[in-house]
Amino acid sequence: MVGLSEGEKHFIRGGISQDIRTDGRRRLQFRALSVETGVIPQANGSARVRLGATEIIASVKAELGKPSILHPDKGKISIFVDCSPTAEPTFEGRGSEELSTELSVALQRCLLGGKSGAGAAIDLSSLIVVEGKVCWDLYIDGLVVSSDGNLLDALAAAIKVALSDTGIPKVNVSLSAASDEEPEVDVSDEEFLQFDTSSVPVIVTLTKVGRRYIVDATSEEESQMSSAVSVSVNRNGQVCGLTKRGGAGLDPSVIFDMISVAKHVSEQFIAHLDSKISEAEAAAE
Amino acid sequence: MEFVDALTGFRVDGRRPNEVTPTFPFPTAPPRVTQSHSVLLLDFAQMRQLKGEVGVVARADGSALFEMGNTRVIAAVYGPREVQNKGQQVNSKEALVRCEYRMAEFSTGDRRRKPKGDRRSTEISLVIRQTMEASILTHLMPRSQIDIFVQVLQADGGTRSACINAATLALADAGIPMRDIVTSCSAGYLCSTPLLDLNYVEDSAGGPDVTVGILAKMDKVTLLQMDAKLPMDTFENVMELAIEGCKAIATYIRETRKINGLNMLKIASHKWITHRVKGLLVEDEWLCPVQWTGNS
Amino acid sequence: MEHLRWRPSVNEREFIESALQSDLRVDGRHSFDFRKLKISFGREDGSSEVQLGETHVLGYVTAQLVQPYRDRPNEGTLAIFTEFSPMADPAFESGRPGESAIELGRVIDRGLRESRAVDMESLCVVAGKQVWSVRVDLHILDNGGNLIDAANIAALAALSTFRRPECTVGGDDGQQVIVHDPEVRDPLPLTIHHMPIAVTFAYFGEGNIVVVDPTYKEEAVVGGRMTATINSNGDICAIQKAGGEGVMSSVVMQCLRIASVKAADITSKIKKAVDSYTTEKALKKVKRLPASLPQKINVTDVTMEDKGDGELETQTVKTPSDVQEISKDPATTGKASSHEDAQPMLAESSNAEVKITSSSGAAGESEEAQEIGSPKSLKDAIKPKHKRKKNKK
Repeated sequence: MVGLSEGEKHFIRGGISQDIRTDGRRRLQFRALSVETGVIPQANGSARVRLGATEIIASVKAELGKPSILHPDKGKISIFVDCSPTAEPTFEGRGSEELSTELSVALQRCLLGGKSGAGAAIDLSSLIVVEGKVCWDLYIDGLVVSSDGNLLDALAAAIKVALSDTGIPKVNVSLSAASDEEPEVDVSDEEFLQFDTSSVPVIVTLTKVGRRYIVDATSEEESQMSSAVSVSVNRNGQVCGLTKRGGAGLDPSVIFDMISVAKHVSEQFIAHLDSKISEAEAAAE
Repeated sequence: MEFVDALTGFRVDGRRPNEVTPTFPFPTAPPRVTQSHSVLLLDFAQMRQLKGEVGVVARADGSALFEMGNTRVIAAVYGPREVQNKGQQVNSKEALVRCEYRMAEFSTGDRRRKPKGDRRSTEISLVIRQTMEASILTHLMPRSQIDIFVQVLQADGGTRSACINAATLALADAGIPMRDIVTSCSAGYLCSTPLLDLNYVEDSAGGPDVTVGILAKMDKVTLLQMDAKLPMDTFENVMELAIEGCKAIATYIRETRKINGLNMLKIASHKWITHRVKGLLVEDEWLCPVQWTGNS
Repeated sequence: MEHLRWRPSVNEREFIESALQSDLRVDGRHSFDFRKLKISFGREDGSSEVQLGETHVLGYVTAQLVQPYRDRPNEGTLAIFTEFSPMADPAFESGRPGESAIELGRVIDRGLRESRAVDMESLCVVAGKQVWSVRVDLHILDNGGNLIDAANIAALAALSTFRRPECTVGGDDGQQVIVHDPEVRDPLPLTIHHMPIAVTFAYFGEGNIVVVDPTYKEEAVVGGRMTATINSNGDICAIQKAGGEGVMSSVVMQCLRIASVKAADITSKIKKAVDSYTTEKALKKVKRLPASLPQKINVTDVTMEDKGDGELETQTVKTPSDVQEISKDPATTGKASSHEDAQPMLAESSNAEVKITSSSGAAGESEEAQEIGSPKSLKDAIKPKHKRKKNKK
């Protein structure tokens, strides 16, 4: 991380309070977003998302597994984030473990819903093959290739795109199996089920610098933040998850305000992202 | 498994076993006529499609993306910068070169968990570091540190070679002076035919796998690794084939650098900084980016 | 930590390098000479100790029954583990292996496992369920340079003398594996197809000067290194040149040719050491024969011994196994068998290597004493015809 001089810090803070950021954006404006799908051919779904200089590669892999005893009618999803040292030299060795865990947990909270699976972005019951015996295990991996702030938003966007690109192979179950035996499953290579990702939320992170909040902070701006609130909002405007970072205390009214700002911003972002996804899919065909 | 089809002579992915024809965007290398071995093959050995791109990681001092067929690798170089851990600095007259090799969890067919810190990754990190160290002019940057990070996005055989090629491009993008470009390629021997640039299927067939890294201009072998058994004469053929592959990649890398407009200057020998070299030819050859130190 | 590794002073570095320019090595060897190699074995099967100059490595082999890998259900496994003790070199940390430790482990692993030196399929007991997993532990006791070669020799020597317990498949479902105690049934050796020998080369001076088997000090000054694992048939099993100084490919081929010569030499040394150890071990087993012969401790007559020697010269020397077989049925032919016993036993006592226990020796001699007492008539009656003829010469 390159250190900032006092002059630069002052410039950043002043600019934000005057609605002009260092790269010319307004406070509630996102950076240029670029989306690519199908970058990892051996995964069931993958995406590469660039938000300014932040680059994320997300992949979705589906494997057949056994459902948990507590929820025999639901599949399983797990999300892991890995920060590559190419993004930051401090990520080498075990330096990135703390950040990776933090990001993984935040994403899980926003996208996977509660312990019972309620409120999850993806309907887990659609992942079941044979109730109680065979289900799909989805492994979602996010890799931070280049980091310039706002990792959580970019990761959530990448996962959304990857899920829309995911095709789960159709499984034919042989009906002759006895009830206590392992059923025979035939995984077809031809037919695929696509996910309906319209209910997958996006995350909008609002970073408070001084008295104002900005959306999509670069790492320079993040170094000046006092606190940040990441709100996960879905298409219907419902809040699916909330994470607050940073040590500074926030007044509850401020938090409510931030949530409503996030909702407002997310509408445009979701629309923008959806158009990018359809562009990418059209390009892929 | 028929790795080389007996009738048509094609490999699993449709290449010929022995073709050195690097693909678009630059012109085909002229066919090389060397003595053919047991089978009368056209003396072309085909490696997979190559693709190199620089500047993929904005924050890094130098970065590159290199693809060899389905193997995709990103390399990022941070440096030269101040030594972070003084304890690691061995020689204060030379730069400290560090390297880390990592594979993404989704890079292989089966999803691997905890791909960093295992023995294979540590060995490959060591290998890449020592290979690049042989080429970097470390005495020009004393008391500094150069970090090379390599991240494998997709692994389909030949990851080591792709990493070294990507690291070379990234180092050049970062403007770090080098003695020569280091390129690497792998070759194997299946169905009594030497094969160039093995992919994962051919690699896991259990046959020998030879990885060679050369200093392109000086024509010296810096990296050589082999496993599984081979009689010595066969090994010589396979090694020569791999060296040809490396030279082809070197040609490709030079072209990539020209396209990307990186400033180059031809250097006759690595001692150019301390002595003036008479006659700098600025043809299509280059050796390292300009590095003015004030005493040349 | 690499920084704890001994670093040469400017003087030492220049001395070593300039000596090599004039084709001299600091310890007086020629460029392609190995240091003195000494291989010795421990008490148990499968433990070896190798000293290559000042480098000292201990190898130890164990085996246990495990489940095989899914993609190789009828093959056993071989794993190499290295232990770099800080006693050997302050640069080694105890606990987590450093880079050089991992490199050494992988080079030896590649040389032994990927070249199929040890037969894995013979280690299968029940396909898909139980196979033998052989584990080689290499302990570095003293780092005098060139650890890879020494450790490789230690591993090979240990594997050659290792004996795994015999096991049979039985039980109710034919799937149970019964491991037999070594006392009950002899343990079996591993099938080793060939011996991959590692030969390390060190390059100095921009790849022009090549030496074999670098010492610790030479390693500190080296420009590049290459380890070639070759067997005596001329097959290259593994090569490891992890970067470092660049060398011409012709130099590489030349090194490989030198390596194959050295490999043949070292293979013969290992085989000799293993053979002498095996014979010694087998002969020690002779002590464990059941006491089937009547133990009569008599004072031997000098004259009889002379005669005994004369007879022995015409007799063929019998192996210990023959002795065992013969001793198993002492009761069948009274004197005849004991006479037969006597001859081979005495024959072996004349052989320098074998140490015959006093009881059997004495018994033999006592039989001899008895035998000589009633000379020709008894011999004619008992001895088979072909032997009779020989004695009459």
